[in-house]
Amino acid sequence: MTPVSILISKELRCFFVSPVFYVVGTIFLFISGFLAHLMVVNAGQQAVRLLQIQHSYAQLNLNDLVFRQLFYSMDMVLMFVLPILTMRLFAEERKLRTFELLLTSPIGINEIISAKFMSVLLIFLGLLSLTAFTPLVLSIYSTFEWNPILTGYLAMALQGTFFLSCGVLASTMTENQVVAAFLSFGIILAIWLLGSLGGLLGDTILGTTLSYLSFTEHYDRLIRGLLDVKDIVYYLSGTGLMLFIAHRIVDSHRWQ
Amino acid sequence: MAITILMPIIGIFGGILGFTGILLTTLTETATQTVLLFEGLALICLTVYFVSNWHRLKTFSARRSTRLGFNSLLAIALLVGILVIINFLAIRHGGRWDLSETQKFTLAPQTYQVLGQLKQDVHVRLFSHERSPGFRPTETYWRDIPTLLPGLPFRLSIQKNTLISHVNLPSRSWIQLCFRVRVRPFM
Repeated sequence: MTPVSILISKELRCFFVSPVFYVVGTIFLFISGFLAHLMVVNAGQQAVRLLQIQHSYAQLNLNDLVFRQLFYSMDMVLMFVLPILTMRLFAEERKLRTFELLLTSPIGINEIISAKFMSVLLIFLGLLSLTAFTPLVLSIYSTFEWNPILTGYLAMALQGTFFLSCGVLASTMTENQVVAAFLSFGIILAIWLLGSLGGLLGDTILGTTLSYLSFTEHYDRLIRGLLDVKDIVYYLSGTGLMLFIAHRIVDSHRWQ
Repeated sequence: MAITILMPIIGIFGGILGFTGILLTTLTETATQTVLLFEGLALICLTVYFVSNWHRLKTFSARRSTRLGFNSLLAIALLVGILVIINFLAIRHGGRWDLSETQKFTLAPQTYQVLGQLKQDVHVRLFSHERSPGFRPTETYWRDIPTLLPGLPFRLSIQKNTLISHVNLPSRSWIQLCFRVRVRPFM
């Protein structure tokens, strides 16, 4: 086994013995399921209303009525849930004084960062894949376009990856897990608010740049079915930058 | 004594002037003289500050932690630069695939042809109401318009004089959005 795979399995073991993971996973799946239920009930009510008006079965667009609304709402859920998953990654090591041991072990910082990030990413993708039951079950009873749903899931995966990298960065900055969670949430919130600030500045260079830096417009395009290279590049760039800064912060412990 | 107190103030003042100048450049395109004045004053203030604190800066920069910290900052700045270039290339030359259920981000070839020949602003009139599927707050409709034409040699800019009015039709109240869109080929 490579050092990275050993570290990943160690991190996954830590997750599965921790009650935090089970609590966070349950809350995440419960909220996503509950939101999906609400959207489906709402779509059903609209179908009944249209049936009363038109006296015939209405052709409802489930992509618009259920899935798009669900993806919009899930964005907020990710914003709150993912910092809790990442808060312990480095903060706990520093608190338990095992961080120095990790740094002096024959494993590079690249391996440490990538292993911790990969472990939490696997957990997140596992949880996200469980939410796929909603479209799978609905496909038995109705017909809808799968392409926008797939781009929606891609959007959630990319958004989650970006949020996790923000969480990894926040966790390297402090030894207090609660502070790390709040810091991570603060970073995500600041990036989100850049879009509103860009909207206020309008069609200027600064306004356009700030809007581009925020993830809202990228996420919005993806969940509406527009797969654009620039959006994927944005998410990968953001994730790479956050992990690189985290790498520099961990490295700074060696010479501080 | 007075110089010791004055120097940090000059440094901070220079920094603020420099930042304001950059901000003005991005916000307005007409205030060239003001920007030049701000940046000139900022340059003078910062030069005075650095010359007067030369020995302190030299000692500070000779420290090991400063050198390594500066290296880290430089590495981050370099990565940011690389990412900016990659994103710029992705915006200008990146492809896209319209996978939406109604192909709403794709225009007909004839429309593209007409847009290419436009010499003046286009007045866009958009009707929507609260019960329409996918109804969103008025500002967000603006974002859809530039997404219709990426990857093509057109630049869209939405003009400021947006008019939002309510039209009362017999069945329900409709919101009418009128705005001008400037379509220009890239230089």
